[in-house]
Amino acid sequence: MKNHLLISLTAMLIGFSSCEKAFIKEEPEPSNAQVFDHLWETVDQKYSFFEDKNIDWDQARLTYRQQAIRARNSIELFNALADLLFVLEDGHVNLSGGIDLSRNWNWYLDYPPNYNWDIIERNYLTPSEDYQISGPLHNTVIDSVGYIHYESFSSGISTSLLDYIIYKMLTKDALSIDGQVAGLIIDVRNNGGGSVDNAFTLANRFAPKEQIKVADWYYKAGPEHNNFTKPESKYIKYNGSELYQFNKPIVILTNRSCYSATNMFASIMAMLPNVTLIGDKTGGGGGLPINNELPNGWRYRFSATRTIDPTGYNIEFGISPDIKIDLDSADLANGKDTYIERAIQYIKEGE
Amino acid sequence: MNKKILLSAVLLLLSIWSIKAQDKKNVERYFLTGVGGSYATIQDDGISPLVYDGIGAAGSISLWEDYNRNKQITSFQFDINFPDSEISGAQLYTFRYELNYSYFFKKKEEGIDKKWLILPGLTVTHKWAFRQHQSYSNNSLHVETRTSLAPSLYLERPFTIFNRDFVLGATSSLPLITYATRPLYASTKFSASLNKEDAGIFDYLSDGEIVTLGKYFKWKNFFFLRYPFKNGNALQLSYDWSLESYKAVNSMKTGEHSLLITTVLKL
Repeated sequence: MKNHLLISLTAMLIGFSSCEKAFIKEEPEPSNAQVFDHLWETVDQKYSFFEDKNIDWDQARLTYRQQAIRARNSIELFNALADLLFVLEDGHVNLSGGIDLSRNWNWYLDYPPNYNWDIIERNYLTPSEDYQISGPLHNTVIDSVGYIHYESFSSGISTSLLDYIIYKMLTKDALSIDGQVAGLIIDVRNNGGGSVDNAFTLANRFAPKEQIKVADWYYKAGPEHNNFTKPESKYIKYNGSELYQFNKPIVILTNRSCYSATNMFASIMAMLPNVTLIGDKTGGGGGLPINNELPNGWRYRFSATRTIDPTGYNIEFGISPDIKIDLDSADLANGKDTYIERAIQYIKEGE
Repeated sequence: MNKKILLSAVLLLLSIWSIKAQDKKNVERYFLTGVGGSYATIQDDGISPLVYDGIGAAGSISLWEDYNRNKQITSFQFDINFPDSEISGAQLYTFRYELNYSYFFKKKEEGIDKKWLILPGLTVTHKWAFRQHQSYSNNSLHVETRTSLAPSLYLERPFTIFNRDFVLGATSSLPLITYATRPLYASTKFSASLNKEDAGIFDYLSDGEIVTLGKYFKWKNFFFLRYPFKNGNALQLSYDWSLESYKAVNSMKTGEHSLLITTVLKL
């Protein structure tokens, strides 16, 4: 009797192990309503800017749920979900379904581009005997002013690479000019972001020796729209040799296509006393985006943190320049970049 | 919090040491080393609502100690899996390891003239799980830990077939109380690692919650078929299965299997 009981028990254990899929299951063909509800609920609980942007997410559900339920095919369902996400007005929010990538890119499409790589390359970089492409950094000296162009914060940079470029600009032997550069232009126009670590690496290179606070990050800590963690404070500090510390005027060139990590970089640099932002307001993107999946396998991402600068400003809404300008059509016709010309003038004349 | 964790670990080690010290004589010790394959099924709402499953590799080392009045099993097991989702086609990379200590009580007459050896006991388990979604960026690597106390059962039945002796056995445990940690609600960070550039090991163990059977369920079963040699060593085929469910802010369920070929070395 006892043997039978134990054999039965053993058989039961083995049986349970083989049918665990009954406990861990997913809907093989989720309905449109299930897909919509999962997206709406996850974003409702984890998106970070509902209160900052005064978004009526409940109303968005009422508006788009029926559209999603009525969808007759994947394209119509995708469009309904994309319309829902469009309400967030956030460049970090995307839905990727293989057939398409939903996006809200109004943060730059609604504004002048203020950027022409052809003119920069043909008329400023290539003619210069100092022009080098050091990793992702195009750099040269233009009219006694150093110039660095950084196309994407997705491309890694190192402190040693930056040391090399700064050393070149501070040592007269390495340059075509007689003496040090008068200042430095860091051109991050059309840099759509990438790794925040690269933004900090670059900013740290121009920071003072004393640590300064540049931002507070808040992570989503619960399902309510205002559930956030305590702040995670971010600092910058220069750790290198004083010989290579760059204390001359620095101009950061920005346009509306500066987003995410670039927006963060502009915000950080704006804290430094020798830094001036020239150009157009950045596009924003102050939340760290996270990824998730829908029950039908589509992937999406959205912002799940808030970044507040030391003045209390939420950088999701972009960083305003100190000197606002647009590219001048007459300058463009003459092969000149208004931004670069204005930056050189500012560095040399101080205004 | 770190002090509490350290103190608990020290107390646990001291109690194990004091138990061992009571019964030093007449002990039989076996050192087991196993390698094999594994299969994992994972549904972690912190990562995805989809079910990921797939195969991988597993290994374990353990020390079995047979005393007059008790049997103790200390084991370290790990597995690496590459589960994917049938629906999204995406893949995870998972790594898990568990440190288990089981203490089973013996009665004097047990095992002498009975066919079945049945021992009740207690198991302490400490587990780390790492799950990396290959297609995610800022929230790709999820880490979680568990430390559980479970009543457990050891079964053993020797038998002979084709004139050869074998031992069939199993252990089963069900945690009643567990200290569990999970990442922040919508991040892979832990609250203790806020304001730190890199998370330290204790950051992953801090700010967890103590949960009981209703909220955290884990049924862990281990089966083995042992073929002893005349010199006391043995070869063993073992199968380990656990089903886990944690109703946290981001719920998760896992089913983990491993099939191991194990050498048993008498010390």
